[in-house]
Amino acid sequence: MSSDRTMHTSDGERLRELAARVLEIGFRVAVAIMAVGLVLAVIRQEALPSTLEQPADIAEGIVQGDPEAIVGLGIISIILTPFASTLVIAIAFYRQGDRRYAAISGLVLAILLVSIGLSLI
Amino acid sequence: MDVSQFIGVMLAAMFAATFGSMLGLGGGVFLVPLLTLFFDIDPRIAVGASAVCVVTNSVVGSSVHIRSGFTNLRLSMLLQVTTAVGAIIGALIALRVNAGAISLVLGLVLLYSAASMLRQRRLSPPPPNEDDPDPFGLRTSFRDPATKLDVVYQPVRVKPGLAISGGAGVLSGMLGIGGGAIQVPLMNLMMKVPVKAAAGTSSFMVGMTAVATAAVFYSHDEIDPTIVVPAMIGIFTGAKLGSQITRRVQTQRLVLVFVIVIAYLGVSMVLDAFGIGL
Repeated sequence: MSSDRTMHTSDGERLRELAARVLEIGFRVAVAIMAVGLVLAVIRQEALPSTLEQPADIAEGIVQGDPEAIVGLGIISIILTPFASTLVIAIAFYRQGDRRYAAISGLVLAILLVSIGLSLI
Repeated sequence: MDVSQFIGVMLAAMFAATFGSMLGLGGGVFLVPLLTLFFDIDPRIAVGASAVCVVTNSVVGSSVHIRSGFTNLRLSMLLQVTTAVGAIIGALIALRVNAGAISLVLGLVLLYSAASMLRQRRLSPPPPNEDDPDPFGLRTSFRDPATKLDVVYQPVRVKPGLAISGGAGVLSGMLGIGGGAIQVPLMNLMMKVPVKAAAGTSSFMVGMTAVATAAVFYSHDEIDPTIVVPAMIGIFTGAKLGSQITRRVQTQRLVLVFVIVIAYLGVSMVLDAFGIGL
């Protein structure tokens, strides 16, 4: 039987549902955080900054309820979402006993981390 | 920042995201020229904003494509291995080669792909045989809502596909583009992946490629929230719209739009190589 090798199985559907959900959650969280930041910025009549702050400044700003930092966190959350989905897909492949694609997805994640690491040097 | 720029950037991003997620491109190819030409935004800031936008577009659009079954997740991960390695190599050698030569090569590749896709638009890949070997486990199917038919397909020529995908990654890294304009014709023409599946798979991949670019620009303080925020608001609506259009539109029409878009990009790249702006 070749049907158990195809992705058109309940495993494949579960994987799709999971991947789609991670992406949706990532985007909704980012929108919600950005909306809070924008509303705060309007209330306090603060303009948006012209550079996205670095993580340490964002963390500090959030503690102080700084709208600029909250909007920044929203932008960073969306950038992190493809990582989260790749990680979840790798784990889901592993759980479904598909070690080959779990390893391939893990490799993609590792290469992405290396490329980000290289860019920061 | 004034209100008219906010609204203008939002609309430009919405336009880029609609076409981008419809065709499996990131949308950066439309957004960068729009931002630099119409809003007089510095090219580096435009590319930085575009990278964040491509990620956003991919996240929103591919969640729809994945649910529709258009994204072949195994194929996307497999091709992403060589694409991502290629992108690193491309970024490392970017400074050492003639940018005009790269533009010329990419432009010619795009024009060739446009012509081939136009010629083959009426042919759909034959359904695979039950007994065909599927060494990479990539055979899958999706239901096309436009025809209400199940489409079964199996990507072929996977190894050369991986090599070309690596080459696409190198070009992405060199030129700071997402690479969808190369990946979609590659999957469709060479690997015999139906256009909707190629667009859905590429749409997910470009997000992963653009994350690395976005990180580079972030580390250089070149992500400008006054541009990125309105652009992201535009993308939220455009990406959903584009991926819904892919679901419903007839494949032949989708191919025609794709051919026009990549032919335009091809011509502008070739002209760019000779120092003529379009």
